[in-house]
Amino acid sequence: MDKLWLDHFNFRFDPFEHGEASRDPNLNRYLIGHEAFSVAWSETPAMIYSPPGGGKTALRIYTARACWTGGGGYQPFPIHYHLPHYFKNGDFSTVEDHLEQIVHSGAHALFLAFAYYPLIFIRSAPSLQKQLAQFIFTWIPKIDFYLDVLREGKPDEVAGQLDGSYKLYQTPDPTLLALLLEILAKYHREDPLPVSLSIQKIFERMVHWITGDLGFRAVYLLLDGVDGFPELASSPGFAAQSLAQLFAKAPKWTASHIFVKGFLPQEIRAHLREQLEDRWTAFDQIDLKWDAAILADMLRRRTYVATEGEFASLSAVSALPSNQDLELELARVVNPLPREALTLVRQVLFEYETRWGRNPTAAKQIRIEDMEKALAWYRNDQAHITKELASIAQG
Amino acid sequence: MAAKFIQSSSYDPKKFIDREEEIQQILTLLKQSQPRVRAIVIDGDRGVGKTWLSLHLQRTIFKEKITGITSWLFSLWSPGENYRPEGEGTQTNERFVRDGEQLKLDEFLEIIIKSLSIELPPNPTLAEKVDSIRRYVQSHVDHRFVLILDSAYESDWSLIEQLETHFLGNLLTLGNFFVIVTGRGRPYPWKVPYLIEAIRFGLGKFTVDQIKEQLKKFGLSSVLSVNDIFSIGQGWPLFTEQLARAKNHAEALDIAADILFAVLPSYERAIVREYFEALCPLEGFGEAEAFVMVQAYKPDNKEDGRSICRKMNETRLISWKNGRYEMNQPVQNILRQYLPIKNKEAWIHLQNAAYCHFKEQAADRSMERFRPFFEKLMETHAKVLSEMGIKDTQICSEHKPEEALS
Repeated sequence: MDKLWLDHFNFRFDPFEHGEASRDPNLNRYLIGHEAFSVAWSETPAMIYSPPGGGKTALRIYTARACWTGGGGYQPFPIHYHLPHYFKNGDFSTVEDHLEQIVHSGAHALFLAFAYYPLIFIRSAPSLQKQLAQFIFTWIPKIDFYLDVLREGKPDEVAGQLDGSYKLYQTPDPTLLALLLEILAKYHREDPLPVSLSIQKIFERMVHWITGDLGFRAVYLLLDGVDGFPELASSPGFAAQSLAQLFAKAPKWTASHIFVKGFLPQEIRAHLREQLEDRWTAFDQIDLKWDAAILADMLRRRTYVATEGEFASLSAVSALPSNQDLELELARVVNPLPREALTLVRQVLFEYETRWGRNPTAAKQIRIEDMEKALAWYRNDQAHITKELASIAQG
Repeated sequence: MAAKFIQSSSYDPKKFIDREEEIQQILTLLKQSQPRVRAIVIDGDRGVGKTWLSLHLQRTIFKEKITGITSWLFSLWSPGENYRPEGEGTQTNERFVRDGEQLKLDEFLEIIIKSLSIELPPNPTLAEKVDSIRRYVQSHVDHRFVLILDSAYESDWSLIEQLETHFLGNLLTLGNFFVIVTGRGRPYPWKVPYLIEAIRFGLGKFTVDQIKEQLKKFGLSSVLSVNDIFSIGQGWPLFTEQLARAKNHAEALDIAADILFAVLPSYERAIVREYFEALCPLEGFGEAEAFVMVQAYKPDNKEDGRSICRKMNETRLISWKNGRYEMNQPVQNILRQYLPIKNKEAWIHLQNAAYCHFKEQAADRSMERFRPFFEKLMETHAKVLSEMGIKDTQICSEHKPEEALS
């Protein structure tokens, strides 16, 4: 399908397209549920819970991009710690295991921060530049390849290959990027400094560069993906054990302006609480809750943004009587998760386009029959899949 | 339908009425040490006084009531050729966009850079300009910097997007930088956390006493009573001055309607105004109603429902609320008073068209589950007709609903 509906309904882009949040360049205009964002955004350790498809990853990406809105300034510095990206399986439990991969992701984060906003690097002192460059070269294998990709002027391409979570859909100023690449090339030609520090020291040094030398307000460590490992998803007790040592550090780290934000499956909560004992109270806790009304709001918000405020509901381009709520009708049917609601809306638009394609003289308008067909498809073909997913998540 | 009103007065501090509560709220925020929220969003319908408040803050309050502050006022949208709230001539740290003009981000930054006497490197990039401003603000920690963006929602959203992406998101991270945004109609979907979490308030309408005070401060005596002015203008301060000059009630309504539509470009003002007149009997509407009502009012109409809604939407005098398009309150109030007096026959015809449309919808089998909703709407319009002495609704002609859409 060609998505003719975009033109028919005057949408500037498709706001329902991306099942995966990191691929959606417009994600940061869709925020609803400010309460959960406030927890993710505040300078405290936090745990944010939801079932699979409940918006954890979207909120993590959202929080990271919010840090970069405006291109720096006195912002928190986000480091993504998406576990499946850094571990092959769920076999990790020591602080050192975690720090090693956090430093790895921190190097990605710094390299891409400089790629998107070269001035941050260019403005720093030469001695710091040298240390930062050598840190990046040490911790990003195949850096030559990524530098070559960056020469094409598209940091999104580099982010896509290193860790898609870091994509910002921004283009740097070409002259500043050229200057950055020139400076990095200069340090790349020099011999690397021998590294004999412990991983703990390397982590501390990295944080000091970010919050001390580069002037960021804090480091936000955004942990996600626990339910990406079957062995962890099926055993929340084991998952909690694997993360307990890292979370135990979080209260102490706040003094160094490091704030751990866990985006976690709900089942892990009781086990983590048990493991963390008195440190548990240091964490802000919130559940991402979805019901039909909030899901309908989410769909309407997307329509509003994609039509640049022209209308805030697909009802405006439907045969439903004015004052009737198309989004709420759909949201009442699906399992109460954003992913599900988006799937159903996509199907409504598919049904519209299929019907209209058969008769291009028909009104360019979603009809009740399009909704009914989409609902029947969802009930027959989709509901069992989501139930299976839910049961996997619940062990 | 030529405008009969003379140009409204430009801002004059001696004519400014109240808004004490809003001003106090802003001053309290500015006097706090490192407040967490440093953005304020003020919304309100056309004529409620957002631009006058912006001017009052910029030219009077920030000069007289608080020290250690630098502020800029950018008014990002022009209310048309008939009104210049800022007066003649330019003032420092102000930029008012004229009719049909577009402000570029570069010019915006230049104004700020010049006012702060910041020295830039040769051929600075956008990032370097913003960085220089940030460094300046950051190095003056005991000073407050306030940016007022007036009429932001009505403006070109691409400028707002550039502003938030390259400037606001950066500067708002500093504890001594503040932004005040005013706008009407569709709120801009911010992505900057500090604007998402902004303090929000709407500007209220004036009371009868405030209108009385307004007349006094403007030195106007009026043929209409203060209550008449309040009833027609619904407490929106923009109308008071013009209505006070009207010779009678009918002329006052005419003037009020002209003021409302003066914001539209002259080449399409008449036609878009007809759309509003055609749809004012409805509480809200969709594309189908837009077509039916405009067709009833203007039988030679060639636009479909979607295109009518789009043109009305561009005026920012309607917005999507409660699952339908709704006219801004002052627009609907004034047209509902104006049309039955100016063209009673058309008013009756429109009420009848609405009645017939909803009757047809109620009879549509595919809409069966919505029948009670349509019947209620039929009842509303039948009641208006009955109040106007039309006991039996006229014969409803058949038409195909498909015609309503492209």
